[in-house]
Amino acid sequence: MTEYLPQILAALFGTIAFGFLLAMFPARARKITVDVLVVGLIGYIIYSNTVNRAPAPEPTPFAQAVDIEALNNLAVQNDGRLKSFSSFSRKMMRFVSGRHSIAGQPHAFTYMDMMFRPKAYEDADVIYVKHKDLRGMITDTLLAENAAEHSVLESFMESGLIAPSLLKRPSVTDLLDRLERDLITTNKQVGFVRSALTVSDARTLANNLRVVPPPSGDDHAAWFLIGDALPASAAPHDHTHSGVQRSSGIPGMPADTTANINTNWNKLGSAWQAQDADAANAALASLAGALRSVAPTLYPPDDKLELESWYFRNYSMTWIWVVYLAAMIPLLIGFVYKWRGANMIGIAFFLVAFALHTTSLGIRWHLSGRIPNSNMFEAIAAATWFGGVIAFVLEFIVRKTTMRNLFFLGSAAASMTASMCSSFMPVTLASDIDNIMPILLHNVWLYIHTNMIIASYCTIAIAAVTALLYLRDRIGGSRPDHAVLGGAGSLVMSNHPSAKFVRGDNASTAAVLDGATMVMMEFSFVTLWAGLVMGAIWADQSWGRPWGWDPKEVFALNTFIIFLLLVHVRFKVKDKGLWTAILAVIGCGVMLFNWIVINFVITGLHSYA
Amino acid sequence: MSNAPSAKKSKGLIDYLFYSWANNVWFGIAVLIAIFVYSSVGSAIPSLRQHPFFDLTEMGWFHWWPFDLMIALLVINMTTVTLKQIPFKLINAGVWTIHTGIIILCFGSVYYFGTKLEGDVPIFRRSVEISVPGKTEPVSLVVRPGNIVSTEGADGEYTFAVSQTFPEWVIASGDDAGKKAYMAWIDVKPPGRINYTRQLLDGYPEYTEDILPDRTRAKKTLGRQLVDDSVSMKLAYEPQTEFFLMHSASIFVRETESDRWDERPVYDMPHYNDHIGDHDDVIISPEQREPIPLRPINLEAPPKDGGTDALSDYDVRVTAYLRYASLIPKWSDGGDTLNPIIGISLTAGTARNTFELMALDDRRNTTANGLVTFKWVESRDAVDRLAASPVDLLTFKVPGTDIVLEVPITGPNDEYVPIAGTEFAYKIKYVVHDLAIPSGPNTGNAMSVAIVDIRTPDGEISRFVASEPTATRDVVGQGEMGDPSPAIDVQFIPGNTARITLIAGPEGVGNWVLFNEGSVIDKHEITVGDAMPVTPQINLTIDYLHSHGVDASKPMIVPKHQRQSSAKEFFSMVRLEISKDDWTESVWLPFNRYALPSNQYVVPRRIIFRPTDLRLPDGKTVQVCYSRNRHPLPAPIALETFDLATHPGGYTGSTITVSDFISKLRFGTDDGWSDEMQMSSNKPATHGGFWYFQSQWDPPGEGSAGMNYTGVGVGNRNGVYIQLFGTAVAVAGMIFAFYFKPIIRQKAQQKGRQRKEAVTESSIAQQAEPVGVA
Repeated sequence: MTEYLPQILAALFGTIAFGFLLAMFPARARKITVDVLVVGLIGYIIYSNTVNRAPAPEPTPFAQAVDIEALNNLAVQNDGRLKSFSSFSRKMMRFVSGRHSIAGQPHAFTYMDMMFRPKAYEDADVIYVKHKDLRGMITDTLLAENAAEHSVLESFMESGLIAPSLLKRPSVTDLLDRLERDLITTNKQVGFVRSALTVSDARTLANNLRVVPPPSGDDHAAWFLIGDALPASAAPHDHTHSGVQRSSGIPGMPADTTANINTNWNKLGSAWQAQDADAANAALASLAGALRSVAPTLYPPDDKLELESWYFRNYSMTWIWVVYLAAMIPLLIGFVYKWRGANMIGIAFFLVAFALHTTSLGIRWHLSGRIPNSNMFEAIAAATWFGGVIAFVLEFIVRKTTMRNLFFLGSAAASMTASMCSSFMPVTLASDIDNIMPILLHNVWLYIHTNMIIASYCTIAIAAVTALLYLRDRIGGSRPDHAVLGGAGSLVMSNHPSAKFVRGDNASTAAVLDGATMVMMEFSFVTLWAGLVMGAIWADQSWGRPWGWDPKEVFALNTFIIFLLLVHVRFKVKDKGLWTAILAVIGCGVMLFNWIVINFVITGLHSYA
Repeated sequence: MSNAPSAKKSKGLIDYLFYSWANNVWFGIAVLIAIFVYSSVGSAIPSLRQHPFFDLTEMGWFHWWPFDLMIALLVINMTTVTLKQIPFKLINAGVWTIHTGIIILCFGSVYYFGTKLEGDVPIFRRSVEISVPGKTEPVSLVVRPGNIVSTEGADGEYTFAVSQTFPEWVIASGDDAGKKAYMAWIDVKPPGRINYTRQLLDGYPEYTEDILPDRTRAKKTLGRQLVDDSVSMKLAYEPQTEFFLMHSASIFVRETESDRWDERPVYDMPHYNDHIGDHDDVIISPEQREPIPLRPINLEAPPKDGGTDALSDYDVRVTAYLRYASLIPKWSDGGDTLNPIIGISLTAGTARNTFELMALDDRRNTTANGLVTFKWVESRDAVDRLAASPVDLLTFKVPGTDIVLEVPITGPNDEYVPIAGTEFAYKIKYVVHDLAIPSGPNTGNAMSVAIVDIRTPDGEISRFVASEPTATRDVVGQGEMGDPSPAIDVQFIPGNTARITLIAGPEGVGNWVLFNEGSVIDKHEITVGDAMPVTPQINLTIDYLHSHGVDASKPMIVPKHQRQSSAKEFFSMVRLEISKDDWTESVWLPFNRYALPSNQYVVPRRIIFRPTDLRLPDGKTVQVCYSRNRHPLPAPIALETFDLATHPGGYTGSTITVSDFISKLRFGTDDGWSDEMQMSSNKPATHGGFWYFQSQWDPPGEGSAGMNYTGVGVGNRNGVYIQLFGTAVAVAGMIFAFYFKPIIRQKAQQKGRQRKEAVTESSIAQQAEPVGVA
């Protein structure tokens, strides 16, 4: 953490300095500057992650001709789950090439190609080195050996992809050995490179291919490797099969089925090596049929495998950020310019986005057979979905008030940001569907705690959106104002003179935004506290103590402390709206710090959360 | 009048010091900000709280007086503000309840953290109680593959080793066919008889049976289940009675023969920073980037509760602490006593293996499964004797003649063998190796003895011919030993069976290496640093040789960038200083997670146990070890079963394939053992005011099927229900304040409006009434 301290302090002081600088501008200029900066920042993020990406190369004719659907819809047992080959190969290839697809090929194709034709990848840029400093050190080492490789290494510095043969050079191996000893700075990164090399080895790929169901039909039993079905005499004597565990066959497997699998596997390998797509597709179809026939009751239904393939082929539906963006823009315009038509368009897009969001979570639930909130990707998706639900409920309540559409707007902004993160950081926020760790099972408090905390996080994010709009409004020169009767009280007592802003009686934008922030803040206050308490009950049963001052616990408490401060500061200060907005944004910052920095940077008991 | 201003001033000061701040919301806000900042930096910037000035764990940081003070100030402030500024009315019930809940939580937390005990202990599944003929006390062997125990029976030494365990062995036949049970294979090496393996099935003693070396069942081959009925083995619980506390430190002491450690707690042991008084005490890594400051410590380690132990007469202190270090073994020459130590390397291409051998230490004078041995001899003759024969050799010399007969021993003689040219004859009975020399300068060292009957012209002699000539004796009378008869001189040179023998001796003897070629021994002189070919591919080099070696091992501080951040205190070390009068000895002790009774509880890479021997000035040897505070459990705990629940496909080496760890525990009671209590992930077992939760497990690997022990986390929970009550009260208060209060206000407002309207209507009506009516 301390190594990031200079950057954090620089960002903090930079923001404060920028704020002071901005304060010297006239109100209109401040407003325009902030708007331009925000739009520019969002535009840059989108541009750099979409338009500015290098176009994927055209796959080879063989890669295009192979029936990738037949391959994708094979079932593989991996880490205690049955997956489609599509999702399995995607996960494995991510260890090798990060988020990149090799030569424009589908991951499933690359998996098979690397396994059947390992030599073709020895000099291909397939290993992804994420750490830029490490790329630089590898480049320097290779350039010191051969300056002529400059252009290749320039491309490596840019994309992070490098050929295994270069990484296996003695000078690079020595460098990696040395860097591996530095446990704090480079050990982990070298570990990633080494595991990429291991996974890309044809033998590793073959030894993970558990595609043969147990003939016994036991749904708890281990599936077999293709190699298990290969008698020693029948197995090809090549590099791919040299590490394969050979046995005298699979117990209980009829001889004709074994022969069928062997024949088709060997045909597939030969066709693949010969780049004969027709023969490969025929062998693949026969192999798929033979594998399914071993234990038809165990084999996942076609539609489930197809759905899983479709889901992952479509980037786990993380592209819904575009629809949320399409909802957010008109909702924002509608709020600022009080334009009903824009609001209607925004709501329509929001409905579509939320329906897609729900579908995405539903697909994950269906595929995994459990509530989708076990890893960071699912937690983010679930949190923002909860935000959507809460937005619907609140919008129903405030449908006749000045706050209408603000919760849709907040929810759309939060969901868009979360989906963009998932879309642009597929390695960090991996969308793989895996089993849940034992410590996250068997406890009802865990489910309640997690969902309660997730609900609070999404409402904190929505509150931050309305608070930011408030701040932008104030920066633009609006007079100080606030919701005199804020929170749920303003909705319950909408006839009270202090809640006139809700009725629209000369309501200022600032008061409306402050009122919406308070509604969300109150909800966050209760749900965060309740979530913390339930987490403590779970921790008590799991680790034998309700509270251990783990960083995650401390920063969840700190988020709550910020809201405690908000309640009390609002009670004491004159400019209540401003301080409420500032503390709501700080609260969201602490929450995000807890979710991102604590999870990914600081080691703690909750590192899986 | 004149006193009034000063009285007012005095009241103001008192008011300011003891009351104003307590009744000031801004003060409460300031305290909250302080708590936020304090907890943020302590948690997000661990290097700050780990700085030598603080050196606090997470728990320590949030237990330190500044934090306690802030919480106390917050509670006082909240209490005062609530009582003084918030009227006790229904409309304020929310804020009253929230504040009350948080105050209850704070008090509950003080009680909870003030009395918190938290630690862990491994509990093994079973041990084997073994009885052998001629020994009344059974010996115990913890069931973990690789464990070994020897015991002396009436007919010699028995050795028992756990060769394998099977967590879920399926019973193949009989009434219980199909049931699963924990099974252990115990390899038995009885004296002078055939080895066999005993198969013990937990819960099914009737299925105990032996397996012969050819892997056939004794039942089939011998017609009976057991090879030897007199060797009894049964599986028993391996209960634990104590656990070890987190974030604590103790030195443990015991006499070498004892299996019970006496504890010496060390308070204020550092956590994260190195504390040394002299850079010469440690080895500085060449990769060390920052200078290592000198920060000496001197912490007492008195016996717990004023008890006594093997070091009661000594002053025991911790004088150095290293957070992350490894002990680098090193010897130097120049000690007072003879202690020959040799370091050699065997190299093949770029591969290099190093070995260290100590000639006078029987446990360390051979290596590589006996292929290499190191001997210290006093003369060149002794070198020649070692080089004489690869087999045991007897030399007969008849005084007054030139006759010398060398006899390689190939086995016992059934009859006397004449010594040609004399009237003497010999009959070799048997040879015994590795006997301890009973007396003399080499007392305790190993020697070999050949028992030979000799027929002389005057009668027969039974002679014990020792490889150490001064120990040779004749049997005189009824089993008594006497000096050897001068009628014949017999010497015994044990065969040198080692593939490589390294020989060193005093000045003039030289350094030698003997290569045993099977039938002959090849002798070469060698000097330190020279390489000598062992085979065409392998070279041998003597790296160092010390005749009077003294231990100069030192810890090397691992540079910070090479440390595993998750290693906690596992690589820490302390230097223990033991002194009495003018005698002082220092020894570095590595950290042990548990002060275990013996090596039988060691699990490679998981449970490490490295006690250190220490020789006291009175010649007594004690063992010391550095671990954590030990605390008694409310009742002994035994592990009945330990099961792994997995996702489809079973355990593949990744924890993600595990769905649960299920331990079934029994607690000791006055009548024996309690019923089974399950402890699994997120489902602790409860007993005696403590919770027991699953904290570690024994995964398969390293030649073991695993599941031989479970890690039990232990913790008390005083005050948890007070905390829970406080939080529940606060939640209720929040819901009331945010959601019920507006409704109450709304209703009150409506009532007020209705009342106002009623009053208005009534006044209008009154006004409308004609004057004079009624």
